[in-house]
Amino acid sequence: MNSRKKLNFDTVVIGGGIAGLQTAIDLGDQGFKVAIIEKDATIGGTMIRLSKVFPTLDCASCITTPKMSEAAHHDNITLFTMCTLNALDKESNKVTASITQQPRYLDPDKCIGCRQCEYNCPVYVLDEEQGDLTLRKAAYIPFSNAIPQLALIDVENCSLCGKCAKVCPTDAIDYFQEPEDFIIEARTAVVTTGFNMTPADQKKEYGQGKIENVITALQMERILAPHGPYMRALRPSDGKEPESIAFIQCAGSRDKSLGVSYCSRVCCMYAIKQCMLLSGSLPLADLTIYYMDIRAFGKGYEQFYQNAKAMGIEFVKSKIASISQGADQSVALKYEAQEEGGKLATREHDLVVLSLGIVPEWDPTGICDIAKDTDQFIQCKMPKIAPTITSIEGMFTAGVASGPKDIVDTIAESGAAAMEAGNYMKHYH
Amino acid sequence: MSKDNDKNKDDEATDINENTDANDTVEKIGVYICHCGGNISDHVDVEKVAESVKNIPGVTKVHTNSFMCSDPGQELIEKDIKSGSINRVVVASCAPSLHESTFRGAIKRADMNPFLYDHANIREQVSWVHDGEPATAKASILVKSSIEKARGLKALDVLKVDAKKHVLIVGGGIAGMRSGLDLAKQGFEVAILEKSPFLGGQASKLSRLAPSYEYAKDLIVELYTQLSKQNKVTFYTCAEMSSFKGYIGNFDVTLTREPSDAVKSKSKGEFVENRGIFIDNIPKETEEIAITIGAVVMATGFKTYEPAEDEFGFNKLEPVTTLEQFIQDYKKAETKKGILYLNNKKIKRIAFIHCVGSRQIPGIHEPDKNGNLNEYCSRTCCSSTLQAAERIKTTCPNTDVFDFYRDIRTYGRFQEDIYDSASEKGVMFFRFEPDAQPEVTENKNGKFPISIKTKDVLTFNEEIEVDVDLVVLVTGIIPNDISSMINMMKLPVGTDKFLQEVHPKLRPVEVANTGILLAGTCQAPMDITESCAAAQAASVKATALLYKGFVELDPFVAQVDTELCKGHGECLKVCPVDNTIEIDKVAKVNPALCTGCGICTAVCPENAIDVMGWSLKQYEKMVDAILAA
Amino acid sequence: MKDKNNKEKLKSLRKQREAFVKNAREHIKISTRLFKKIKAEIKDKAMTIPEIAKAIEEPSSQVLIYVSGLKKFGMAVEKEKDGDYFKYQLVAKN
Repeated sequence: MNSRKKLNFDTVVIGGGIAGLQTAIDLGDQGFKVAIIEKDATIGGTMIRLSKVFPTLDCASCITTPKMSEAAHHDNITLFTMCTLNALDKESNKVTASITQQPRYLDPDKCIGCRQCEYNCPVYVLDEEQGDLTLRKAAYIPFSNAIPQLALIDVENCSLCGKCAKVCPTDAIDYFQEPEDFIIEARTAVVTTGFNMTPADQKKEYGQGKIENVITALQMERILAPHGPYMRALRPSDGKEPESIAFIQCAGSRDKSLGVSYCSRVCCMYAIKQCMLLSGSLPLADLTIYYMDIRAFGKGYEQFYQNAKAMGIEFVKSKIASISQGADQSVALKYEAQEEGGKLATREHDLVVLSLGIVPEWDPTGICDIAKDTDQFIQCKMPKIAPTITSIEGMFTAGVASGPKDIVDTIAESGAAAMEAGNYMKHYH
Repeated sequence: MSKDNDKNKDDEATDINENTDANDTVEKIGVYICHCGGNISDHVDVEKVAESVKNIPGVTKVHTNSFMCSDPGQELIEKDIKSGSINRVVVASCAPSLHESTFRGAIKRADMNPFLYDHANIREQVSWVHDGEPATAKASILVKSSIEKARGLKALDVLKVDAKKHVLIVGGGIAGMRSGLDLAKQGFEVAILEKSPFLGGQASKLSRLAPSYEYAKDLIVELYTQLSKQNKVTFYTCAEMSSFKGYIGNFDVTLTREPSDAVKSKSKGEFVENRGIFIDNIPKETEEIAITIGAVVMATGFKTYEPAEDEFGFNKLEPVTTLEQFIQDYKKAETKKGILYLNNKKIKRIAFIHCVGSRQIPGIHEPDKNGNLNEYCSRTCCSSTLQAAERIKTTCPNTDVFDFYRDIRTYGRFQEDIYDSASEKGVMFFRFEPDAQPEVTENKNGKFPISIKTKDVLTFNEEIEVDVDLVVLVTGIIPNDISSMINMMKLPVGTDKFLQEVHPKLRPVEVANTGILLAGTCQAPMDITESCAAAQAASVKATALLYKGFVELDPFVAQVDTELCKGHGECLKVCPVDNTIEIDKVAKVNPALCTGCGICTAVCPENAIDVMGWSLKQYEKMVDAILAA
Repeated sequence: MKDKNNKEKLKSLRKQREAFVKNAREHIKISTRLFKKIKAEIKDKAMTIPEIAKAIEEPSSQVLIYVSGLKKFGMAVEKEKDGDYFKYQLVAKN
């Protein structure tokens, strides 16, 4: 226990997505020393995995990579990837984070990111970074703009054949690495743990993930991304270029039967954005959004929505009653047709996207005494005038950790968390 | 454990040795061309551009990369510098406003002067506006011209300017108070400029807030109490900005304070309903105050949309009011037998109509007298309305509440609960299309004074008519009129008339003028939570700018060749920024004020004044390169 | 650290991670078999996903994943479009 390595920082930021990065940069720019703890092999969070972002249609990479890179090269910021948080405690003005770093099975100081291990690895598995729509190797770099640019070995899929060790030019591979425990002591913590999508397979009426060509919004993000699985928009059942694509809004939000009664706040806009991108790549395709209310509330969002309507994207006010497999691998949607006085009608589409909602990624139970609210997100103690203050003094939160939020609002709130944490350290230490 | 960014950190040298670069007589230019995912390479043949420049004399490296701004992209540059292969950098990618600082950072890390770098914009200026062969040709020309410019680059030092740790907050509403408190806690001097004698702004008019049911008054009092404990905060109430000059770190501002006869009987710090916290230092006569500050936080807020004459019967039919007025009236409301009484009038039935002055669509809605339409969503009104509706049904269950809406936008945390609760308590909803707005008319014969007609989308376009005692128009948010400050401070304004940030994600609270930050609803509609988050984001940027006591500015400013200058003073005549140039035998430039516009270069008869990093010679070379192509 | 991945030590590690190794070998088996069948079909001619699927009697969704994998690792390329489907062919060196 005592032999564990202990490191000291001013602030420990839990989560290296856009919220964590912005918080760390804003704290680092005030002169504070910051550690970012990230569970994945790369920083960047959900944002770096998106295609383009609303309402400006900037590529997500163009906006995220500079922030990732700024954090990685910042004099005051240290990144720790592949880390699990075991405990986060606050005692007498000190935050203690107990962390386990999972092994990459290679020496990060030696790895030069040349990908020789990846090219020579014989094991192919589904690539979760591409929504399981293509393959990756068991030794790999998650994606081309991952930071750090270090390979890792997916141990559960490694046959220990030894090929990667043989071809590694810097002799970096080490199959015997073990997880390593260490402790970070800091004066403050900021929880920026982000979100997960609601599960695609929980709703019986929606086929529980068993209907072909029903995909999640994040899979669509990958399909639309510059280095996506197909490098163009195809439907996954057979590679057909879809002629008709539909989006089902509130598939997993505003639905008490799923325990998610709240609005996930971003799905309307991302669906509209995906439609706009699709109409660029498939100008002849029919694009339909089935919705309850379009919530285009942010700066420039309503105008974005009206543009989409003007471009010919069809908005159908209707809750989808059920999804089933149609003819020729198409997807049949049963809905209340406005034009037929609310009678149930059926339409078939080549591809259907579930606009899934947002649930918290991190559950503090058993790890940290920080309070959750009834919606399971981190509780804000003063939600109006100090939205980043949590139930524990010296611990702050920003971004989706404290409720669904778009990127713009997340970034503003991250600045706010950095301000609160900075002032806290100035006054109580 | 391994730290993932250690490698560079240890060998990062702190001093940049500019001289070695500058004395390097042979230019070795590295050219880095970005695909930008497909943003550029879908329209520009990037490899062909690379091919077209690789044999230009002096070009020693040409690389292409899918994302030059990513770490592997930046490392290409660093590697080439460290290996001595290059001593000038040309990056061809997106607009320099996005990633210039990213690439300067990479060059600095490789121990080269960051100003030995030029940027060709082949995305906004090429791939987003051209296609095919002409796009590739133009990209190639821009890169060639950039190469010629890079050849003439010299190592430059950033300008270091002392900065006042003093921030002016414009506006004493909730965002201004929030930001002022943050910065005061930082130990900065804070001046809060407020045109009224009160602090609290628009929030003072509100009652209980959605969705937490806190009183707005309590929040304002809480912020004021904390603010008044800070000893470096000055409230300049009854004041307006009358002049604004200078640059980040050293803005000279004049404030003019005027006497006001508002609520003389009140005492300092007292909360006055609908107006805010009274600050008891009203000037006896007009006074002018000059202050020098390091940064400005704009927190000038909003006002509510005023419906046009007869818009939904407004100003024509007496029982038509706005949500803003309704909230104020409702504070004094009474209940008898479960029925709502407002201003002593029995309200058996009440209707709310959403999106009045918001989400206006060209061709459908009537523009105002200046030709403006508010195309944006005002964001806060759905929750605010539903909370009002829900509260009426809670306290006055015998009053019928009707809600006419387009989309219900209860997007925020716990806002959906208000919608659910309002529905459960019997608020009746009707949904209308923007091109079939509800018609509000006088109901002369009926039991109720007003009649509303609409086609209800929820019942598949059934024509419905509802008679009511009162119609509440849910009016949206429009920015306060701050045109004099917009002119004085040269602030960028968006098509929606709100102040415009540089970029909503990269630099969300900054405007193009360095040292001026945005907080709250001067930028876009926001609720109190979002305004406070934005205000704190502005505070943290102000802190990062000023906490060291100095700021660093780009060195692209005019420089005088004192050997050539004869002191004609032509430059002084054309310089658009006061006090930048003075003539003392020869011309002298104040680099902190100079914007590098280059007008002086154009008029100097002796060719004695030039902008560093953008010299006349470089321009000539660039033009030659473009013409040669 | 020269012997860090040496044969003896690896052998015992394989034992220790038996389940993982078995899982990985299963993956290798499946992908080798599928790749072999797909490659044989598109070696000399470009084919659409449904055509390949029919020829090798495998589900088309699975074929798409493997063809997109071949593309990702530079072994196949996309060719012209045939109706609603693109064709794919192996690059020469494979």
